[in-house]
Amino acid sequence: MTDLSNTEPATLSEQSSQTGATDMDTDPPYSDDSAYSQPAPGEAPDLVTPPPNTRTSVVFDSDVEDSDDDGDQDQIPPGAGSTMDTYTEQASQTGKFAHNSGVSNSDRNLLVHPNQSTQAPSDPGPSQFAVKFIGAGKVLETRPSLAGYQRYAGGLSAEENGPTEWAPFSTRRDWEVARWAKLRGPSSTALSELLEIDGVSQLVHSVPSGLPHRD
Amino acid sequence: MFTPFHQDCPIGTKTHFFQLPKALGLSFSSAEELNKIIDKKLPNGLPQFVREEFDLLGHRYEFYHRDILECVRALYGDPELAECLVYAPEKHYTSSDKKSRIFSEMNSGRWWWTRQVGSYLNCSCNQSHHVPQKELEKEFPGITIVPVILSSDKTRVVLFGTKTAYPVYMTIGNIPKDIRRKPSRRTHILVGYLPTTQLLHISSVASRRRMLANLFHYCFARILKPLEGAGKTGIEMTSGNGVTRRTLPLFACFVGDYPEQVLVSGCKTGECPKCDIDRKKLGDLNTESSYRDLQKVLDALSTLDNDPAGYFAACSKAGIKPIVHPFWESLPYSDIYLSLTPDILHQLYQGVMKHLVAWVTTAFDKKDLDARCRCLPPNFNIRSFTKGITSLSRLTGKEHADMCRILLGLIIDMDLPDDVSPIPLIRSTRALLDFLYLAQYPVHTSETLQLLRQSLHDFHANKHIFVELGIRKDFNLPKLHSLVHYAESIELFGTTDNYNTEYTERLHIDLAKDAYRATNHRDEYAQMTIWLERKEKILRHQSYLEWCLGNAARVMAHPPSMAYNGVLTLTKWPSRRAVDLDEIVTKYGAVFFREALRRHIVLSKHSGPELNRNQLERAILYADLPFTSVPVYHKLKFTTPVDSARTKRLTLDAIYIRPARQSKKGLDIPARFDTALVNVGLGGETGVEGTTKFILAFTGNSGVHRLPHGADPSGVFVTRG
Repeated sequence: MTDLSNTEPATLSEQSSQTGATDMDTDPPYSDDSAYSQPAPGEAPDLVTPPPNTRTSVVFDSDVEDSDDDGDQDQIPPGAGSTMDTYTEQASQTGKFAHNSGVSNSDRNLLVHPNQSTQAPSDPGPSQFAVKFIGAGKVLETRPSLAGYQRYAGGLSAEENGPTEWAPFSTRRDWEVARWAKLRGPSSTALSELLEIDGVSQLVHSVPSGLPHRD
Repeated sequence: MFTPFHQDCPIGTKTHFFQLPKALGLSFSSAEELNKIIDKKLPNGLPQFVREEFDLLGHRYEFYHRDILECVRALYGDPELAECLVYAPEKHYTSSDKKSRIFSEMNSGRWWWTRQVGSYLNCSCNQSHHVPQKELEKEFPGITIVPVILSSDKTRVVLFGTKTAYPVYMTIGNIPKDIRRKPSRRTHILVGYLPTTQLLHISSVASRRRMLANLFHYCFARILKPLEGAGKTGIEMTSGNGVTRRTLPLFACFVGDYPEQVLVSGCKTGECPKCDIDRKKLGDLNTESSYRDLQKVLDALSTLDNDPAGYFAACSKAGIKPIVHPFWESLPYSDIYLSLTPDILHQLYQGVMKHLVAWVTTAFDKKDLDARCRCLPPNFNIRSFTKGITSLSRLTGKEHADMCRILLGLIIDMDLPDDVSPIPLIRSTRALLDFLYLAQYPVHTSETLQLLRQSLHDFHANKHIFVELGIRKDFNLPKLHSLVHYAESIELFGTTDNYNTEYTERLHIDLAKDAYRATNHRDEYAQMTIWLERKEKILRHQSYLEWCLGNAARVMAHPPSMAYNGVLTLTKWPSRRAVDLDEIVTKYGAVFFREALRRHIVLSKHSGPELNRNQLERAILYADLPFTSVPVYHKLKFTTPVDSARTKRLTLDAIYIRPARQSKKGLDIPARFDTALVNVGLGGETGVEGTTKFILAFTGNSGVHRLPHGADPSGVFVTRG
């Protein structure tokens, strides 16, 4: 059991090597967050390009000392307001509200995801106002080669031998039986016993779909 | 010989020696071989479990855990979640005047924002263990906070007996709560099984308790160790769309029931784990109290190394049990007393509501209450307690939820013995129920939070009735006190569905109970962890294959909304195709159906100047009904709208209109006519004014061609009951 600790996941070493290679000073590419542009650190924030379907205005929000946040237990540091030029916020106004009948008036103000304002219904309700902390979530780099399951696939092809779509399994059926056995299946002894039964194969063999049939 | 099964089983005939694996073209011929493939050839999505052993007074204990940072990385980098992760805190307001703030997702709460500001401006820390200033300034601009949400709960893994498991789960707040709460999305990761020992070999009770607390914190600290460094300097993480950001994984919330909270915070049982209120004043809303002072506690704890003699005294002065290095001691930017979150299931349903039901049933006559329970008409969302509610025991949270739905309706006009006015009792019950439902709103505004506070206040203003009736002497219940902290927690971390213990209770089934069942019950943790790893690998590989095939599930977060989007749905064909109009009158109880239908025909045919009352009545009298039967639907459903991401319709509500009948077994099934309140366009958003009560609904679609020319066939024909 102790050897579990020694086996390092393949992804870890791969990840750390990338970390070393990353250049922190390169311009942040605008990727998935293109709707919210990010000013480079230390640079005065430019006017933000509004997302195509939201009315946007940049607010140099001074509410670091807003009464709004005074209730916080983890106090915002004194003097924080003076350094407010280190970050900026984006305010976006979206006029989108789902209609809600049967809920009291005070609940009318529903949170709506700003990204979805394309489907805004024509409800003339009060518009919602969102302030986003722009500096946060800065993109260091975008590598499409790391997107999706490509890293996972890399770990897979390095280890398997036969180049099949279903690697490391041989066929779709092979994989699906394995999946069934592990997720839905019986205990491992029961599975082994099933696979050992003579002749059951004939039934399966004669019907390609795997359904047993009667003569 | 083999009847009733297939006849040609060639068992025993060695000539036909085909085996199932070969015939199917399987690459494995036994479970062991399959396991080998999974272990060796499928890549690890999540880190493997590590077994750790330690000695405690001559006994060896083991516990299993895995690298939490790698788990965070895997979750953060999950390609299926890539589209919906959030990276920045936001402030939402109901309008641009910024008067009323909206709280919903975790990133709309104050914690995230202040942490971002704190890490940005780098002065929030007066705590000794925080990072030196210079490093922060250089490294932290543009950092992405990854709030780590932890939960642990001891659970029984067998139905009978005392075998328990102690799993610890982890998830991150960047995932929208709508996705986080779905077990099928696997956003909660099991990061360890804590030892479940009771340390029974230690004879002194006090010392055993201390040891148990130390054991818990030791194991938790081991699990969270990787967060210490990463939370100080930040690490680079790549999300599933290939975008790398510098992230700061911070311990944000601890989700657990009261015993867990006590254990985590190091306070004494019976005290509030979050604030320093006197345990004898827990029931008093107006007692001044403040959050426990983390700095004071940390100072007291730090005396352990320098001044072991004064350690106990210092700890007791700071109001904490003498725990050797609690796990949160060295976690950067964390305040454990803020991190303890409200717990709807245990604090409200299984706590306060349980008490409330007990108080109410003591106050009123039990037989009366049970009789009223039995009289309740069936309704879609209401469970019928046919035995009443007073005799039940060992109730689940769900059963308490069912009771809460009917509680106010049961007692609303009941009399108390000795002519005591029941008004304060009704008010306090209503206030608590209001609190219960308000606390579960998926979206809160500053106003609704005020309503939440107000309802708690209303309860405390009226609770004296329970003392007067001799039911309670005081209200010094930690769970009742915990409601004080709800509004603040919602402001800090978003609404309560961000940190609900119900989700982890659900996880126990997959990750503890099923895992245990898959073992041979000896040295079970070794088997459970391997079973779990294999299962996770298979699931991950499945997602990968689906991605390869191009039909990967696009995970979309649904913005939380309080809107009631019920869509009216009917079966494709009527329940009965032709029901005689006489039967409508007699069996369906729609006495004036003919008249109402004629009126509808007259009104929809009529054009020109408005008819006066006399003319209308005359027209109705002479109107012709060209049919003697109508199709009838027996059920009206309100379901969620079907959109691209949500394929399943959920039934929100249903109305039944069904006359008495006999079942196949010859049993009489009583008629069921649900009451529906229909807003005919005159009513407001709430209240019953302007609505009309109908008990029967018909649609005339199938009989369109038989309606007189010009009559509107599309409407739902309703008739007044």
